[in-house]
Amino acid sequence: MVVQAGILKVWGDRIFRVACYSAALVVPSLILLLVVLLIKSSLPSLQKYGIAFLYQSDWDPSREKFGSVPFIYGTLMTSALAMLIALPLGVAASTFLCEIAHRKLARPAMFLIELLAAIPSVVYGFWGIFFVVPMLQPILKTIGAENDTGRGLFTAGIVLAVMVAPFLTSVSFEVCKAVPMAQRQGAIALGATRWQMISRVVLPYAWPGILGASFLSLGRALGETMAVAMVIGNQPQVHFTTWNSPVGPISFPALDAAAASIPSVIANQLSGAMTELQRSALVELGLVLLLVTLVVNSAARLLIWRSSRTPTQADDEGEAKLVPPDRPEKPETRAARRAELGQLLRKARSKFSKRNSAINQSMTILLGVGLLLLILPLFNILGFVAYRGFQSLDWAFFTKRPPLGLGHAILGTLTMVGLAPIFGVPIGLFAALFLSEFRNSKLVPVVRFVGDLLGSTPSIIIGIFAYTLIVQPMHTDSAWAGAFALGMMMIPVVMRSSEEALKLVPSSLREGSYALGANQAQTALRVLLPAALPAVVTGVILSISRVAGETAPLLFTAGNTDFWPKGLNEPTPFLTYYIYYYSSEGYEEKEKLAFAGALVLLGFVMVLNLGIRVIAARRAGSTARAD
Amino acid sequence: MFQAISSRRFFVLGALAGAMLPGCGGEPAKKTSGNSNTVAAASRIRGGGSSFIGPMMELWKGAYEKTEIDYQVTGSGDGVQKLLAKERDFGCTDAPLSNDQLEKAGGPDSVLQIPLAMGAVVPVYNLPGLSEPLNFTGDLLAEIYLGKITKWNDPSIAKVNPGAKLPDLNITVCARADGSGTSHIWTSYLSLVSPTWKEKVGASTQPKWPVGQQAPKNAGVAKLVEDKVGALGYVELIYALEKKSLSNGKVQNADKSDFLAGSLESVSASAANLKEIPENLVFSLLQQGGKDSYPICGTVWLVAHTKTEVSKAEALKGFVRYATGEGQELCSKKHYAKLPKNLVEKVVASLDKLGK
Repeated sequence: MVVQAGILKVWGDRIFRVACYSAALVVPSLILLLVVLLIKSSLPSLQKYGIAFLYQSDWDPSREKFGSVPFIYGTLMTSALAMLIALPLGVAASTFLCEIAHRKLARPAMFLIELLAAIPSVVYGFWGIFFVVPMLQPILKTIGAENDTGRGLFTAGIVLAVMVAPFLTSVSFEVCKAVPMAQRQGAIALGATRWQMISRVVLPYAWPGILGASFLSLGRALGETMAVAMVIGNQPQVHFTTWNSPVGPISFPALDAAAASIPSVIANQLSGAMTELQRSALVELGLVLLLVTLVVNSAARLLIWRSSRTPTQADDEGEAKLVPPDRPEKPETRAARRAELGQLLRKARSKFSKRNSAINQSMTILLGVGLLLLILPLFNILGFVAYRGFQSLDWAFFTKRPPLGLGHAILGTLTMVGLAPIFGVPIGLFAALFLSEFRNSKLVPVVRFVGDLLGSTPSIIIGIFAYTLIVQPMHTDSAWAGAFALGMMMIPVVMRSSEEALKLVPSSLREGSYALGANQAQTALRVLLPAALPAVVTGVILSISRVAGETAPLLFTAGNTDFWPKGLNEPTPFLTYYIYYYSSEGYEEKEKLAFAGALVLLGFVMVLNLGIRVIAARRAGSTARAD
Repeated sequence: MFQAISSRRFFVLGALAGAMLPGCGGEPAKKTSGNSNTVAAASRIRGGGSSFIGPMMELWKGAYEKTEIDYQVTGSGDGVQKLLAKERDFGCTDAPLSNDQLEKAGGPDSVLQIPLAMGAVVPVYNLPGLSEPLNFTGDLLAEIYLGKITKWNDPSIAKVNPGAKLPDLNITVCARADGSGTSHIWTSYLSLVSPTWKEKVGASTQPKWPVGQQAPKNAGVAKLVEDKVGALGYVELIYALEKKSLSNGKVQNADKSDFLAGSLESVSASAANLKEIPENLVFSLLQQGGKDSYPICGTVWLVAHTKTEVSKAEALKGFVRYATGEGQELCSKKHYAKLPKNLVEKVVASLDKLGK
């Protein structure tokens, strides 16, 4: 018996090892396969146009002319505009909440902002069509814009900005919070006003982290499909306008002009491509997008890594000693220290020069305005969708198929969202176990890097991949293909959050387990995993809520049907499809369904997020940002 | 709160149903008996494509009960591609297959192109306050779509619209973003009437639009026009009639004797010109002669592989017989023209090739 148990134990350990290694290997292989398949699909275009593809500006499928310039332009311009708007607002909002606002305001506000970061992107596009476009039209007309339709680069920039701002704010807030209190105390002690403290101490200290967060947001903006396709105007062009300035005519990019982005043209044209060549050119556009996001994200990771390695630019040891050790402060001590800081400030206030006081006050107001500007559109979105959605929501919506309801699409979405974890969670979890339990393996940095890469891959590219891998050979769209695409998007989120969770398990537990004679498998599965389980589950649920609102990866994989889905090998309807198309057709009954659908989706995602945050308030915050 | 509860409750319901799916759905019933004549028709066939015929399909699939017709409005380009990739049982397109596409399908004899309905592509615009529908000549439309005429009060528009109070507004030109048969009909027409258009843009399902805004599908273009005062677009007739804020422009007929609105009658007049029908059932209805013939008419073809699985071929035949027979009576409801009798005879005869 003893011998048998020993064999079991040895084999258990081996199986665990194999499971961890294979999960860890699946992640890089998936990426590799993705790149290989994408290159293979884009070969005709690669061979025919070569490098010219990158600098040709003509896109004319009917004459087989394919140049990527207008789409690269559209993608970069919308994302740049988005960052120009979102970065100041995000920084203002996060510093206001971190440095100025009272705790009673800051905590619920951050909670809300983190919640808003979970709104599905199609809902933002929805808001763009029904709110931003009609609002911009009269303004554009008054200023005499060449294109006063309200659909164009600028609109897409606004929608993207509002979309990435919550994420940017919540990361910046964390970064600002991580600035050691001693730094602030030092500044105040030297007679700085609060604004001087923020601008000279907190922001420079937090800057690399904020910059990293902006790059991550930029990555999201670059890969966004639906929200952009709905409001950009879809005209592939690089349009310049000329301003007759006193010194002579100046040409600059027309921000009001309609344009097209890489993801939007793929969504519009890929499934109806006229020729093989066009299809391959579109896939090559996807490759270009992948490359751009890769560069942007690598830059972000590098910045974040550097800023976390060197806590301040202070190389001199003396100052570094003032910085409290890395150990996180207890909330109570932190609150006490902040209160102390506030008292110090109040005492010092009488000594500030008039000018500095005035600057301080106006900056405080400005930062507050930044927070308002950030939060108002988000309330606007929630209120708008809730108002119109409730009006159109009835029981038939849940139980009937079109034209009466979208019950079949709710079922389809739930089916795929239910299947996705079967593929995504084990791989993500075991890869995380690999990262935390086989730390000395040379594979670790590779897996971590590739995980980040997968996390930053635009969802529409994952859609193309799943289409080539599953739909083409099976000759049918299916729930499986959709679930595979969603599952693949879950892997990096689950992996990162589980790894963070496993890291937080005290190493004494691990040591104790080994000391009692347990092997690696037993330690990992019976000691570490149970200890980390709440945080792991939180990560899984957050990843589910994230993929539930996806549209782009399902467009090419799940297909769609107006009937109840028959089986998993059949085309499967999904909610976001209807939200996207029914909102862009202008029929009242369809718009009603779209609004109700958006509300139900929003409700589903919010309930998941809210539930998780209430249950595991603190942990969720850190895992939410794990991607 | 209500939404929270209902979506949560539905989550449970849906999860249960989801779990049951593989059990109850799964493989379609394979009751292939030895005798092929008695093969039961499939219970659901899948198709998609043309949004031109979307409203008609809605009616047909509601009225036809023998088989569930799962028709997805995705644009003609998508319809053809998915058919060629054998991802659907049939596709619908308002642009007949190109030679390349025929070759890809395995030669002209390996696919059937079956006309289902005829309709008009009409210029629609959003200009409140005009009492009469505007007149357009083919040349005018080409100039506008080329970006040469940019204002509604342009003299050349005023010339064919004496008495109309044309506003000093920019023309926002709207077109299709996806592969579209409606675009094919529209650009083929513009190529016929304007040599400049033919040379600079040409006829295509996905032309390079010189100016303007684009959106996917007929309804998407209608929405673009609806959203902007001063916009001009082109859609299948029914999309123009269903929206109150859209006006349906008149177009000069082929013999330049009159300006006609797209309508059941003016399309039927064009269709009546169809005397000789080619074997492959592919023809054009553009610029038909006769005083009452609307110049921009199009046909939607259902495309299917001749080598289709027998049960699905049976289902398809049943549906095509219905749509081109009894189903034609529904056409007038959505302002499509009925197929001429001589055409229907040929269609029914061609069905023999299906499923071989």
